Amino acid sequence: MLINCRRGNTLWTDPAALQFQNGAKVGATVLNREIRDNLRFLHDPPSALATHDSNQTISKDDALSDFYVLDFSRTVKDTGEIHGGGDIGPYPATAGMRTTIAGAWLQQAIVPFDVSYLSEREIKGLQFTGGIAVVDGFHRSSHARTNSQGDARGETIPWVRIVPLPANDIRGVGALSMVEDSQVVSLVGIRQPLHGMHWLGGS
Amino acid sequence: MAWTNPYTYKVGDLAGVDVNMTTDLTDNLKWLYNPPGARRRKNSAQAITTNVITTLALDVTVYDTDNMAVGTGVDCQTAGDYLVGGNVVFAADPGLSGGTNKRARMARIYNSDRQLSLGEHDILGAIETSIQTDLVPIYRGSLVVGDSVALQAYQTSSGGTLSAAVDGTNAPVLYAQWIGG
Repeated sequence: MLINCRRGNTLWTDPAALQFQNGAKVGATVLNREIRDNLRFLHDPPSALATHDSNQTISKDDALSDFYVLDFSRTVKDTGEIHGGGDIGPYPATAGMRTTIAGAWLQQAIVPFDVSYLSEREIKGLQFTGGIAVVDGFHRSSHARTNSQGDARGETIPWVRIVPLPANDIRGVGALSMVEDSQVVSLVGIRQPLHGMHWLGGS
Repeated sequence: MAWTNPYTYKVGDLAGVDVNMTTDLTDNLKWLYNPPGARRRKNSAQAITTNVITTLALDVTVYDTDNMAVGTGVDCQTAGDYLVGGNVVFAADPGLSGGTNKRARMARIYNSDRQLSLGEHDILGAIETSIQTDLVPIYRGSLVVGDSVALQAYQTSSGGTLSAAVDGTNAPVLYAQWIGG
């Protein structure tokens, strides 16, 4: 029997371990573990969503390879040990989302940047496992390059991807601001920054 | 059929007597195989009046597994965690150029039941509008029964209107897919 994920009190159990045979009595323990709990797992799979309730200053940086690690300190949803589930020091643990089971994961982020001048802003997918690394290039809003006309411009950059990941892989979101001295990811009304992970299926 | 919280089996249970294997197992498997979801799009041009947040009148239902296609958007019939997204393409406006060629453009997923923006993709200041702008707002989070989700667009200009581009690839699209309880 393979048990490879804990989600609260619910486990996913590989059904291949359960062999029904003619005339065999199937115990309640087996049915609860491999039918009831697996159904519950599929209906309510590993998932987490987090936000941040204050501005974060993004220092100017001219290098596209650099970035600021965004924190998402308030848990909106977590089915179990995903948000902040790993040690990623020196960054706050809440900047990370840990996969609790291997499979295809939906990762999504929404990053609102405040109005500023002459700036280019990008967000990046980060991996903290085994040291921090950019694993998903950069993403920017349409026409988010330097504004040649020198006018103020704010923007919200949404980002979503589906990627196969192993268990215990820790992901995060980075932000980059070029040209201007500082940039904030701000709480502007209801436009809150969000970071989420959601298990979609095995792989 | 609706999702049924799975039965907790006991020693001595008899199928058909103590536990309904159809509702507890078969129907739940069918439900998980084909959970709530819908995708709608628009098949005709729609002007976006300057400075007016406009709900796009989606009139083609691509798929709908839970009677979610209501009015011009999608309604939540089953509470849960959803992935909701959209696509709005603002047509190029080459008539404006140079220093006056500045507009804000925004597309958002809007919960008209709770009057709450769920997700936005926006460029709020001056942008170059002589080229096409493709905005893709997304939302991932909870919806409850009765939530009405709409795709909305907004733009500013010194005058006139823009239409969301409508063709085979750029039609405004809104989708909502259940991904978890």
